Formats: sequence, C-alpha cells, structure tokens
Amino acid sequence: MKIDELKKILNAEVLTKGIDDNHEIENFCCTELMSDVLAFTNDGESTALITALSNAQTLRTADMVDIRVVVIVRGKQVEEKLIEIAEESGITLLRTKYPIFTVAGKLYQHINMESASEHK
Amino acid sequence: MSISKIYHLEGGNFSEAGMASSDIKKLLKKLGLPSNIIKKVAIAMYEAEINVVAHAYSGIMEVMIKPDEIFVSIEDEGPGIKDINMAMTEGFSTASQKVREMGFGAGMGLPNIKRNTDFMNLETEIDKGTKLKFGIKLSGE
Repeated sequence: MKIDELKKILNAEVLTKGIDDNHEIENFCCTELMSDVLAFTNDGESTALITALSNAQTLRTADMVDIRVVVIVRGKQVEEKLIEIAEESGITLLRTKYPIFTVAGKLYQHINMESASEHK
Repeated sequence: MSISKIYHLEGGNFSEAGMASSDIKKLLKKLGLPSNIIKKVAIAMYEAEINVVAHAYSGIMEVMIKPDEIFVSIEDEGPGIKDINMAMTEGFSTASQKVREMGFGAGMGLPNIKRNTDFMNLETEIDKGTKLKFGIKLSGE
C-alpha cells in the first residue's frame, strides 16, 4: 500500500514528511526490539516500522536498514531528537492514537481485503 | 587507496549513539559501494557502537575503508565480558533496565555482528575492557 493509504487507515498525523506519499510499503515490522529490526529487515525501503518506542534510537535503527516510514503508536509524545533524526534521514514519521494491536489488525485486514479482491 | 576514520564513543550517551555508524553509512553510499555491503557494515557497526554505549565507560572506534575490505576495530574501557560464549548466544544479555527501555538488550548484538561480517575477533579483560575487530570483504572489481 502507498504511504498515503497507510496514513488514512491509521488516521495518522504527520510529524515529519520524508519520502513521497506514493511510496509503496509491502512489509510491516511491529516491534520495540531494535536488534530485531536490524536482524529481520530484508528490504528496508519497502518496510514500515510500527513501534511504541518513541526515542531517538528508533529512528537511528530504522535509518541503518533503510526504513523510510516509522509509525509511533498510542499517540505517544516523541523527543525533539527523534524529529531531528527523522528530518536528517528523510524518514516519514507518523503518529497514530491506536495501540499496536489495533494498528496491526487494521493493516493486516486491509492487506487481506486487497488481495482477496485481486483474486476475484 | 584507504580511508580511515576514528570516533570517540561515550558510555551511557544514548542520544548520540549511532552517529558513527550513520556517518560511515553515508560515506559508503557516497563512495558507491553495493547496498548489501553497506547494510552489513551499518548493522555490524551500529550493534558494536550500541554495545559500547550500553556496557562500557568509553570507547574508540576506528574504521578503515580499504579497496578489498572494510575493517572496524573498537576498543573500550569498561567492565569486560565475563563469559564470551554466553555473550555470543542469541537472547543472552547483561544489559541494564535502562538499556532494555531503549529497545536494546535483547541479546542479539554480538550474534548480529557475527552474522553480518566475514571475520570477527573478540578479546576481553575483566575490569579493563573489550577489543572487538571485524571485517567485511568487498568483492574484487
């Protein structure tokens, strides 16, 4: 799905705009374990990181594996340093008020609906 | 032609942690290295940098970009590693609560470095510090 769609599904606010809204996201990583992001991200460019960890290291980690979209959940406040790093790295930083379970559910449902309609 | 860069790392300074790795990643991109190589270097360096910030008092990281490989050496002053075998085991961590709250301390650091490098050497002395060296080979062009 495009970043634009992702924003709509999650009712997300844009904290920093990095990459283009038409950019395609194919993989989703929901975690607070930064080493897991490093170990298990195959194609960062097409991955969105969804996390409750709202500190600067989230963005550093995302940047290390070329993740271009990060979604902070539960409407959490973010540190100024995180915004700085997002801007420097050209990462689109979004925030949604939904908790991570709801975010994962909404995205999963949307992907499955899309692929079900493609198979008709 | 070789390029060498040195970074000073401060234990406990999580807001600056990752700057060295980020700097090198940008440099490798500018030099036009293949993206799979850049990814391996970035991950290995970043994990090593976080290890110093999470566990040691201070450290020095030297990165040498040579025609056939990228060589990284990190020497820290710190408590050292009590059990290297355990430290290399996925899921084992001696990280403090503060480190875990940062999203680290899952016990994947050294295994991630090993997985992304062509060679790795770890030496440690209790109550003195740790020396980690690793390298990623560049395919000859």
